[in-house]
Amino acid sequence: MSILSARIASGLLKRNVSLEQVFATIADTLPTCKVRNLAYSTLSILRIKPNGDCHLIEYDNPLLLRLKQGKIAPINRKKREIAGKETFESWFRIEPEDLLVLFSDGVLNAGVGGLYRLGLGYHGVINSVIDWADDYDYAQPIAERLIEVVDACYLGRIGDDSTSVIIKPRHPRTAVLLTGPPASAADDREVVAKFLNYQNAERIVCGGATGNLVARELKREIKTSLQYEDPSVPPTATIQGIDLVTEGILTLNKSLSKLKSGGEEWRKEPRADGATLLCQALTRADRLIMLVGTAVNPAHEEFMSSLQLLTRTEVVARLQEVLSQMDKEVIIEKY
Amino acid sequence: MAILMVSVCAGTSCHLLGNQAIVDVLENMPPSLQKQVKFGYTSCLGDCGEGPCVTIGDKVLKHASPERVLDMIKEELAAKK
Ligand code: FES
Repeated sequence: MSILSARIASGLLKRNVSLEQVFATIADTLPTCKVRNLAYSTLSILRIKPNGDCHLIEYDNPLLLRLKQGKIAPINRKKREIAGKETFESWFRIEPEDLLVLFSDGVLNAGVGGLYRLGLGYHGVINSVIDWADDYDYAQPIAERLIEVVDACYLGRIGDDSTSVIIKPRHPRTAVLLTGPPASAADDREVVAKFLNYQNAERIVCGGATGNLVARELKREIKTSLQYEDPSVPPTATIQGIDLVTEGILTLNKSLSKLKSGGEEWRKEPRADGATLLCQALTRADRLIMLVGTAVNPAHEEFMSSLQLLTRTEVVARLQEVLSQMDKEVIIEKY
Repeated sequence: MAILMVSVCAGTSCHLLGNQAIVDVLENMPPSLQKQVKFGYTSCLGDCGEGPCVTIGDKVLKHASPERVLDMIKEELAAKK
């Protein structure tokens, strides 16, 4: 029910439907108690614009917490009736380094009558989250740890269901990936120069020949790692000034299947093979520019079909699909 | 004693053409050879159609097999003496 509502809400918000209308649409579908005719669902909807302006409507949920530099920054709320429901509405702005914490009453009440007489409570949540806010530069692990605490409060037994959403705004991250030599060797210089021109981006090179090209232009050495971390993925290399250098075709294909598998092991994988590192780098970015050389290595053609590998241009197009579904902006330029 | 540098290509083609068998044999060389040889990986050497490729000193061995790599290491070491 909550997942479905969240899907509907985000779908409508993407289409620029106003927050009130989204609230009203969802509120109409909320189940009500047949006997007392009371809604027993609660709801918070938050819209954040790219400039940090926030619009929040809360209905019967614990109130959103905003932390600024580790301290509570109160939010001005006004009561407003929407779709026959008594809600709180607020407008505020968030900045990088702020932290927004949304959670359901299952979190607030965690441990009630057991570990805590009155449950984890606002203070329990605030104290936990403040401690972790400095430990992580992104929100996911903070939300995971909060839910772990809740689970522990319920002593691992099934209690109330608990949801938490943590938002830590930051500036968008760009990554630029160079893979494959250009179709015409005359363009080598220009393409590599273009790649190197991206200063505030994570710079990734996928491909042995491509790595050699970049090293040559930078007049730096390319050093191949001494380790095969995963026997099916050739080792990574390093070039000073480049964030990640991997082999090409096999690593790209492996990364695509990791991203498509839906599993998330590669996020935490301690083994640092090229495909795992590439998945991590690609998903860290919000905006990706892929500079794709279309020169074909004749030696590859023999094994490409027998191993059912996608060609460079094919695999890059698929990566674009998968990453776009993760709401990333992906731009492909071919040479 | 001068050390002989051996680099096994870890590019796409050489990887698929079995560079691991060569690394295995390098890792298990007799101690007398191990003392005189240092080995690692290199990125694509540009002879992908003729892999696996290995550089031994300043020579490139194409279509390398574990046996040929060992033979050539011995030859190079002998020539150096
Ligand atoms: S992959 Fe070894 S020479 Fe190209």
